[in-house]
Amino acid sequence: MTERLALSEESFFELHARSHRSLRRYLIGMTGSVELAEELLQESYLRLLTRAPGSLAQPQLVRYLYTVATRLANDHFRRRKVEARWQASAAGDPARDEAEVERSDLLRALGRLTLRQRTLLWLAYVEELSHREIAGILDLGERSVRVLLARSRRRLEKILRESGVDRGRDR
Amino acid sequence: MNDRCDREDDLVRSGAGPLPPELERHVASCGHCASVLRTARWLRRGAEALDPGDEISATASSLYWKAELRRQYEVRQSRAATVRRALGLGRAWAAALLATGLILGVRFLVGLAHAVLADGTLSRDDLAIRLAAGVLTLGLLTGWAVLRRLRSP
Repeated sequence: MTERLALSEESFFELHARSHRSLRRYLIGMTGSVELAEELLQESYLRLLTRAPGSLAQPQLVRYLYTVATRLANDHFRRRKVEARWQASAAGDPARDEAEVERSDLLRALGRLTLRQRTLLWLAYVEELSHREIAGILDLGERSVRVLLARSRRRLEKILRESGVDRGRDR
Repeated sequence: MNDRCDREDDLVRSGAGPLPPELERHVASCGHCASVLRTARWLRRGAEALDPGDEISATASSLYWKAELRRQYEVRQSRAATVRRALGLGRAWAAALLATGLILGVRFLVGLAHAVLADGTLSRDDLAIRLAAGVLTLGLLTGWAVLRRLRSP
C-alpha cells in the first residue's frame, strides 16, 4: 500500500488537463454513454493516482490511463453483459444538426462493432497511437494488432456502406 | 488489399489538415492507405462531435481529493488486515500453549495424587517440577482469560 499518491497535485493537474477530454471522448466512443464514460473516466484517474508506479513519465502515464480505461470498459461489459444493448442508448435521438449527425452516425456504427474493434480503431486513428503502443494497452502482440486493426477497419467500412453513411466521408 | 503499408504511420499522424502532395499521390495509388485515411478522418470528425463539454466532468482537484481519501481508506484497511492476521496467529499460539499447559497440569495432579496417596513419598526435586508445571498451567489459563477479555468489545 502506498504512503502517498502516484503524482503530486501539480503533476496530476497537468496530466488531467492534457488528457481528460480525449480520454472522455474515447470512453464515450467505447461505451456509447456519456454518464458511463464519466464514471469510468473518474475511476481511471483514481486508479492512476492510487495504483500507478510513481516512476512513470507523462507519456507513459497517458498510456497507463488508456490501459486502465480500456480494462474498466471491458469489465463493465463483461459484468453487465450489456454490449448487445449498446446501440439503443448510443443513438436514440433523431439527429438535429451536423455535429449531431456525425455523433449519431459514429455511435451507431461503433455500436455494431465489438468492444475490441472499437478500441483498436479509436486508439489507432483518433488517438494516433502506434501499433506497439496499442499492443501494450490491449495486451496483444504487434502483429495481432495489425491484423485485427485491418479486420476492424474492413468491418467498419462494411457497416458504413450498408448504412449509407460512407457517402460523405471524404469531405 | 494488403493489411499493411509502410506509409500508414505517416498517414495516421498527418492530422486533420490537407496531406503533403507526395503523401496525397501515394494515397491515390494505394488502396490500403486510402481506406486508412477515410476511416481515420471519419472517426476523427465523429470523435470531435462526441465531446460533451466540461460542465459535467469532475474537476482535477476533486479527483485528487477523492484519490487521497481512497488511499487513506486502503491504508487503514491494509493495517486492519495485518492486525487481524496477527491476532489470528496469536490465538492459535495461545490455544496450542493452553493445550500443552492442560496436559502438564493433569500430569502434575495425577503425579501428585499418586505420590501422596499411593506410596507416600515425594522427593524435593519431583515436588519442584510438579509445582512448576502447575504454576505454568495457571499462568497459561490466566493469559488465555486476559486475551479473551482484551478481545471482547
